[in-house]
Amino acid sequence: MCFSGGGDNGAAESRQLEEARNARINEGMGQIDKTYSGFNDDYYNLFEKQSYDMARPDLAHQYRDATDNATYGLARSGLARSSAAAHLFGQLSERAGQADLKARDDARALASERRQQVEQSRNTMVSQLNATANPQAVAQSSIAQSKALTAPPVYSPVTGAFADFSNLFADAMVNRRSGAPGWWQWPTTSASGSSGRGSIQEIR
Amino acid sequence: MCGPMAIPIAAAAMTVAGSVAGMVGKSKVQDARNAAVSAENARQRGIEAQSAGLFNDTLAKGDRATQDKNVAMAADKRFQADQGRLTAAPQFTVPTGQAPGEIGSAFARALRGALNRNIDRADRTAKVNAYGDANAGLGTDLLRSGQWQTIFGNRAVNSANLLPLELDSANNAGDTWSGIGQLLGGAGRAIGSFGGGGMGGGGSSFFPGFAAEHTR
Repeated sequence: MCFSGGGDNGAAESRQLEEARNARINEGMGQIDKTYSGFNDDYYNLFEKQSYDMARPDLAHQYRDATDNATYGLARSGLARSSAAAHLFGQLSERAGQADLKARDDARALASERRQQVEQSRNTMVSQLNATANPQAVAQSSIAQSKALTAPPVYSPVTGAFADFSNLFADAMVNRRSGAPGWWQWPTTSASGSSGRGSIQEIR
Repeated sequence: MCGPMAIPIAAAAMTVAGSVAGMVGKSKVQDARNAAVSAENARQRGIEAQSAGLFNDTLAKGDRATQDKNVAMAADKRFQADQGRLTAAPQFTVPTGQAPGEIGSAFARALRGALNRNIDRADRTAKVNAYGDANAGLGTDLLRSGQWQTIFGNRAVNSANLLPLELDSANNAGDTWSGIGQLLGGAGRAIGSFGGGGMGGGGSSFFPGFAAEHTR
């Protein structure tokens, strides 16, 4: 017969183990937060800017080509100083602004996608922590994950932002040489994207 | 000094003491079980309070007023950035050179019109896309909240799972007193049997050899 009293069946040790596990998970969550703290608004703003900066040279180059083509074409037509020229350049400028807005929105979408990837990665780390309650292993793994996330996005070059303007001018020149009616008519693009026709008023 | 009643009295006293010790032992067990249950209830309440606090914080971010505010802030942020860039973009200006005033004005009007339309476009686009920005922010909050809720849930279950073990352990809390009670009770019965056998000459089942020897 044992008179020691309160004989332990391992309950106290199990409770201690559970509390230790909880403490390790708290510690692990802290380490995950620390590891991922670099993925903040500054990071995503920079990411967005860099993504946008990749598109800018392409856009600027295509815009210069389009304005050059328009300038030469108008000069050959003797319409360099005309309301048509002003209208055309206005259209080009508007298109350039639209392309710029789209490039910026694409960059934002890329940044948003990156944010989701980071959150998914972080979520994986939290799941691993819950399963293992091993902050050290999870910390190592999360550092590896966060390094992998610093890879740049795949760059899709901006192409053909002003393609229809180039084609438009080439068509107009061909039509003019062939004497086809309406060669002087330029398509117009409204803010809503609908097209129409405008006629040239020469100003001399 | 010891009268004929001494042995029965001693036996009765030991039996009573044994019963008292046994009751104390049972009381210790009950106290230990109550303490285990109370401690577990306190832990569950603590986890529940943490969980509810986080849930309420997250829920508050999802209400219409907060979402509207977040959407408006996101739209303003987008629009300010886009407007500033469109207005300042030097690569999208068109040199008019030595154009006459009328032409220059026509160019200026066309470019100004294009700029205004694009600013208007940026404003409208920002207002729509801002919903996505606000949703993304809320999604992150919900995800992180969910991660902690999972942790809290696991803690509640794991802790509750330990309670049967602790209750089982609590059943041993009165072992000392119960042991003393059993010992005293047994001794009281033995002495009572011995005393009863000696006086009555009927023999004892507890110490048969001893009783037989002293009753011959």
